[in-house]
Amino acid sequence: MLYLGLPSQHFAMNTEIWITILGLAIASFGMRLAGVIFVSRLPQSGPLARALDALPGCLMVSLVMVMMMKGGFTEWFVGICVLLSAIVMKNATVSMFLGVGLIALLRHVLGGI
Amino acid sequence: MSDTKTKNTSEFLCGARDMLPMTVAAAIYGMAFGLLAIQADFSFGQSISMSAMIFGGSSQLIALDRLSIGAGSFAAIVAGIALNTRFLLVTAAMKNSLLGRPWWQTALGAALATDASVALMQTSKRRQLEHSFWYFFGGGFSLYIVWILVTAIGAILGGQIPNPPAFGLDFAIIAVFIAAIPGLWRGIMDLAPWVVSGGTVALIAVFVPEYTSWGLILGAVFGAAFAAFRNEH
Repeated sequence: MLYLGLPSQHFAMNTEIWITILGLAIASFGMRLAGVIFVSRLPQSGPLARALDALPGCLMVSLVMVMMMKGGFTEWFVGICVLLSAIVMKNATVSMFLGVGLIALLRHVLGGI
Repeated sequence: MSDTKTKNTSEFLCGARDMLPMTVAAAIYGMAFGLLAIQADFSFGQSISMSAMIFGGSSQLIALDRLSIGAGSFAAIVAGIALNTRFLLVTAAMKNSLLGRPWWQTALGAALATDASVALMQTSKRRQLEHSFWYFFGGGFSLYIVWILVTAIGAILGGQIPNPPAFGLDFAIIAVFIAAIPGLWRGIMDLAPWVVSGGTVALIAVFVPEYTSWGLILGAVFGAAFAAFRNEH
């Protein structure tokens, strides 16, 4: 029984992983498609069109805020530096490396890590 | 005919090139996912399949986390869905490049849509390629290939990856999205909706932190709704 028990337990975990992968994959693709289908049925002018035009910026601001809310002073300070650098230089790559370098430096100096 | 082909190819390559900062940032994130997946007893094949079939880093990590504490498939899927509901908003925001296309292009473009696609809109605007399917397809496809590759590398390297926060690498993904924000600014009319979005997320994170992942959706929807229904004179 012991001999049979171990592999079957492994099998259960394995199945669980595959079910999760497949379930989340289907749901994720479904939501990606739903967005397109939803938007294709909306009017091209009026309030809903204005909402859609505002959506990319609002989505990116929300995403950044969700990530920043977990950060402390160092993250906020560097985040603002990255924002200013992106406004001035208009270069995402440079701004990203600036942020990574600055935060690594500050974490070592301030002893956060 | 071959002119169209050349144009499509050049837009594809242009999209892949403009995606590079996001690709680099996502590569670090994807490697961390591969590493954690192996540590959570995922097989190599399962780690790769998850990245290839879901293509959404934060949802992959949270599903992994749920499974490793023994919460079960259902809880893992629900937690992942909570984060990936935003894909509905991502593809809606990408309407210019996805609508009015052959169905397979719309489906393929939607399958490759991520937060990085929204970040890519800032350069598409500057290049006047907002309506180009091939530009966003080039960006999404290159990110997708790298995403799978780095998952594999993370899974193979396992514990040999140094502590990412010590090198500021965990901040790369945040930095690249922050850097995308100025390019999405359409003018002063964006100020109030953006304050509504950011404020919603902040309030949810402070008062009901367990719902922070829903805060993303609510923040985006409230901001866009504010833009839609404010008084215009």
